[in-house]
Amino acid sequence: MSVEQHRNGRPALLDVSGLVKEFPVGRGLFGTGGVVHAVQGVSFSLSAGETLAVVGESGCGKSTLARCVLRLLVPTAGTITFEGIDITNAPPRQLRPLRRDAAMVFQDPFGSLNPRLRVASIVGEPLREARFGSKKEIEARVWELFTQVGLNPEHFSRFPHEFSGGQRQRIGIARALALHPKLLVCDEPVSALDVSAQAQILNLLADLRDQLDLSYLFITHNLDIVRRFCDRVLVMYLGRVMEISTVAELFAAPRHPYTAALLAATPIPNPRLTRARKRAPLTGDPASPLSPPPGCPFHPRCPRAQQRCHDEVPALTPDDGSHRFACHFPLEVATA
Amino acid sequence: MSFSGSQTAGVADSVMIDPTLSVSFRARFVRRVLADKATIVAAVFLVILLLLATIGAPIVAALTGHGSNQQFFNGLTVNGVPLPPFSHEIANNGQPNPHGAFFILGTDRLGRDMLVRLLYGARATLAVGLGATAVALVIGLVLGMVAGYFGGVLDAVISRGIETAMAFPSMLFAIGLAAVLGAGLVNSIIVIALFSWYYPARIVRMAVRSLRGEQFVEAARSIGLGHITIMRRHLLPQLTAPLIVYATGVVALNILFEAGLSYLGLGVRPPTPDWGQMIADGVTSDLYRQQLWVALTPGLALVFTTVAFNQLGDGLRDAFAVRGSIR
Amino acid sequence: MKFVARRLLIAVGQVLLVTLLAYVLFYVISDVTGASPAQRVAGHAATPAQVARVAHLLGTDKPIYTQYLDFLDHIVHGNFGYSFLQRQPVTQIILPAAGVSLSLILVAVVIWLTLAIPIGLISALRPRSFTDRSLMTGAQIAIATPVFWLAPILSYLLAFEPNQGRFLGISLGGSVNVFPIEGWISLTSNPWQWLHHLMLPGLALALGFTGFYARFVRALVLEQLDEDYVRTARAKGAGRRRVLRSHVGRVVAPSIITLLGLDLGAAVGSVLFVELVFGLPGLGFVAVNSIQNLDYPVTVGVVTFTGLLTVGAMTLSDFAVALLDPRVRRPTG
Repeated sequence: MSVEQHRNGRPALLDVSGLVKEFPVGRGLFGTGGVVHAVQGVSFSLSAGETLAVVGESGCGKSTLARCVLRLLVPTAGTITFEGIDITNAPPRQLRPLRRDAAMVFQDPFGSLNPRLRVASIVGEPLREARFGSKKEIEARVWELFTQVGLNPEHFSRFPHEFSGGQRQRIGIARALALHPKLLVCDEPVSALDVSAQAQILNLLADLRDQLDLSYLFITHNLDIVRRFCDRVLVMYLGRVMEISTVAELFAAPRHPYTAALLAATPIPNPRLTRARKRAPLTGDPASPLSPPPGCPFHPRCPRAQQRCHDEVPALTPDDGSHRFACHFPLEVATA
Repeated sequence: MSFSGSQTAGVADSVMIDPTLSVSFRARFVRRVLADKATIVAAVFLVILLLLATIGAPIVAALTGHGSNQQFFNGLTVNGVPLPPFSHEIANNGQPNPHGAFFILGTDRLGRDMLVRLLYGARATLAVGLGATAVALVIGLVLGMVAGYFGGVLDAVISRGIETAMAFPSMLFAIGLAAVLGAGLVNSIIVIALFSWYYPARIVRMAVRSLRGEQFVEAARSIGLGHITIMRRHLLPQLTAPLIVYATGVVALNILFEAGLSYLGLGVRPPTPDWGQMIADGVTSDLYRQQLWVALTPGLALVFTTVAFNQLGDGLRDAFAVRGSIR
Repeated sequence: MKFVARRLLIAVGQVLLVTLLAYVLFYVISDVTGASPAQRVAGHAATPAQVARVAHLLGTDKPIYTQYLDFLDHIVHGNFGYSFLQRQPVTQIILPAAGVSLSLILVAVVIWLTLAIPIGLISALRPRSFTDRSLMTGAQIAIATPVFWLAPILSYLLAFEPNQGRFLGISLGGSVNVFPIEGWISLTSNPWQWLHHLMLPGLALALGFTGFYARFVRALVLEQLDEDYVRTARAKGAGRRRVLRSHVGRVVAPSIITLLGLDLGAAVGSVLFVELVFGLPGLGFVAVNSIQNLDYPVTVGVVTFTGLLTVGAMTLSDFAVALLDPRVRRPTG
């Protein structure tokens, strides 16, 4: 049971405990069924109004985690509680509050909108599905949403292909906001955009957060965004949590070797600082989620690894507190 | 909090990126079709054929005064050989009678007017061809959709089923089935549909499988849409284009299938005219050696109709910009 | 290995399903039409007692599932049972007929590949030219031509008429016998005549497929010519022909082979018509007769045989694809 302090003193909106998600692969019938261990025991909680980043390399399970939270996938084990309701295995009817109060913003601005539908139809779909009101009421709300995300409402009968990537992402955000959600799960919402569009969308998300008191579960691999945009960070590796902390503490004093390596690999646009940085290169590629290493999943690449790391999966410590990490030999708190 | 290089949301978005892209799918489609002459010819031909089959046949019958099953004793030569096109009936002295009945396309084995029979025969061909295809499309659409969308065991079962169905020697089974169910229009439709549903099923399955991974389907799920709604609202519209294209191909195949069945005597019941049957008439007891036209005319009609459907399909495929063919 | 075993098991299941359905179907025929094979064998004048005795001899008085199990038992021992009408093992009827049909298909395949590949290539190399358009229109017409019509027309134009000293109405001044009108000569008795008698039927069967394959080859080659790897090869200085042969050919050839495998099943229907018109005692001919005579061991035998071939062809091509394309094989990681 995760018992983190809630930074802002507000109640937990989302509580994830011991989440496990596995996928069978290979042709069933006779066959060698392999299993992809996408998520192996992840726990955290998210308060109202908070922005939690989930970072990691590709294949670490962050997208799977996001989809489990929204029940687009059914967890193999563990529990997910949203607004106090256990949604882990709930049937569709009991998921209605989830569908209303949580929404997803997808990564691909091209693929996440049905090319055959007009954008007004796309944004209005959640409204129609939830029986929001009459046609006129829905139209009015769609208009409102367009304005809210910075799109010209007069374009609402156009098709997605007529918009730029950044604009399409705004449409996706408008759709997500349709039913006044409390939580937005953003799966790398700006990775597919060019730099200026990225900035615009992030600004938009920040503004919306203030205006609408939103919580974000923000999946990304870009630490820069994390630093500027998020309150807390969860670092994942091969399906497990390596470290979870406030943004400030993580960047100032990472405890997990993996986090340190990630930070060291982030380019800093200042040659002097870059050169002064300590090198802690990551060797090799992450193992495949089909056969994660025993014990700590990071130990094969970890410069500090020892026998214990192979034998025993490290638990997240300390049990409470705002900064937790899963390592047998964590980094000392640096004084510089 | 603001990011470098950012602008106030809204300014950049009032500018549309490319005005030509605002042309809708429909307009582009129409433009492409109109540029394709062969397809237009095919489409016109088919429309005319449809009109001829429905209202043209009785009109011609009335104009010439010849019924579709009316046997003209004088429509055969003294040796009993049918007349070639543009012939008058034969008088008692064995010579053509310029004041007698005139046969634009000649006569058949029983002295019946070929033209009238041909026109009425179009009805059977089109009815069975189109009808069977419609049924096959529905079956194929449902099964393909279910297989492609749900994947897993359901897909495996349906795919194997499709393969197995394709392994059946369709003609033999069709013959067997027709022998059980009896000949006739409806039975022909059933039999033919049973052996052509797997074409659309395969196409639909492949299309749905690739569409299913798209994020807009995930988005629809995240809104809470049920499976059937997603299939109906998000997947089906994307399928109409390829389906229409393949439908024309399947119609062409089924027309030939139907002709084959009635050639063997298993189609619509005689004396209702049917092109396949007319060919059979012209071929039995080597009649075609004495008068080729009896078999030639309905065959040509079949060829033209099938080519027209195929050409229509090709043209539509280019206009929709769909890839691939029926196989 | 597991992949192979699994695929084979599925193939066996498919064949079983085909035979089961065939059995059910043809059993139902006799049930529904009220005519019994025993009756047919015994003859019109037979008394009910005699018919019953015949039925017992034939085994048709046993329940259907027993008959089916007997059938399966026969299969395992390598035969297809006994024909009702002809008092000989079905295998003895089917095998020679299969030889005929396969000869016909073989000749047809050679003809259509020899014609279609060059035609498709020529068209692809001159897209949208007059040559291309005419060839493809011809191909379209070829696809649309029903075999059962083409066969008599061809027979008339190329065999009968010349035989009578005419061609398209023009007198030839004497009988010209390029093609025999009908009939079958076995390979073993006279190879040249065997081929000679199969030319016209083979052509009739092949024409539709020629059209289809020509279009297919054209589309495939055009697609490949557009691909980046071809452009790279050309940029490196490879001549057009070499590119075609080594690069494009490598992609097109397997596709044609796969298609051939699938077409085996489709061919059976057309084969039937050709056999009927040209009087070739092949499987189609035998099967149609057996249906009309309620001799359903023969019918089921033919269906099983063709089913085996088709499923075999599909399975083999699946294996071939798996061998050639490592992506298809099961993930080992």
